[in-house]
Amino acid sequence: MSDLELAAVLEPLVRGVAGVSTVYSSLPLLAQSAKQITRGADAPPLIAIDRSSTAVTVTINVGVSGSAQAPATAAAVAAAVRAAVGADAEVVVRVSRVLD
Amino acid sequence: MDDHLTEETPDIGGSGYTLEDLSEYLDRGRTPAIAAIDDNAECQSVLASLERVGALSRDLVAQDAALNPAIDESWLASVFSSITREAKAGRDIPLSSPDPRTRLSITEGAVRELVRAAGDAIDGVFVGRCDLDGDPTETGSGIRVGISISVVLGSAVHDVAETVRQRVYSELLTHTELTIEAVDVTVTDVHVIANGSAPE
Repeated sequence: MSDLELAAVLEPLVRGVAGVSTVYSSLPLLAQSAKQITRGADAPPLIAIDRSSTAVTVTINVGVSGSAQAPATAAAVAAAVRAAVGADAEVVVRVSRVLD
Repeated sequence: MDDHLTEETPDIGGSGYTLEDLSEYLDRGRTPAIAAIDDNAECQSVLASLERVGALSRDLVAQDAALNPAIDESWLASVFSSITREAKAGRDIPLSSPDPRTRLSITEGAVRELVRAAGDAIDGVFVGRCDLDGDPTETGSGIRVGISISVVLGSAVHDVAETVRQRVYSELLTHTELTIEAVDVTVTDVHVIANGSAPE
């Protein structure tokens, strides 16, 4: 499975975790490329997959519902992702916003 | 929006869009949708704050202009400056995880927005700036939270400030694992609405 395919599989999985309101881009976009993206090229996946080290690293930025608890929600996201990608993966979950 | 409002942070969250761009995007009803903005947490944080300050501004200017002082432009500029500065993701504040291969965190920007939104949710309150004093990246390190607020005069200022303090503290307990030593609320501006209900 390619990184793009893996990210595409993981995104709905993450969105389905209780307490997750949305998924944000995990890739810092350069200003110029960001505007180029909006002009028609495919947007990059929101979930970042990195295979530069021995274990695959999956990075996810989420917005959490204010009615949930951010720490518990982040842990639930990590558990869901780990179940999909395997026990050896590095899983990074960052709560980027808590939404009303 | 005046150019001086965008001088400090020409680009929000690496999106390629400025505060002015986001304000215009908001004015257009966020259409056509721009993924680089919609998928960017910092842009979304700024947009949420712009909506709140916009609502407050409309409330104030909707009052009798003859009886109310005009909204201080420098106050608005300082609010916009704080919003863009505090929306930056900043440092990752760790959340505990029993698995060493799992790293959980909440961004400094998310915590600041949490504080700001908690204050803004109180009727007649608008948060000017939020400071986290201490090292939030060090687990167990004590943090003092400083908040400056503007209050629309209509109820006892002390009571309003205490309500903000309690709400902010509660939200931080719910969504972070920070060791909060204190939440200090400073009222820096009072806006008078001439609707006859403000106390003498």
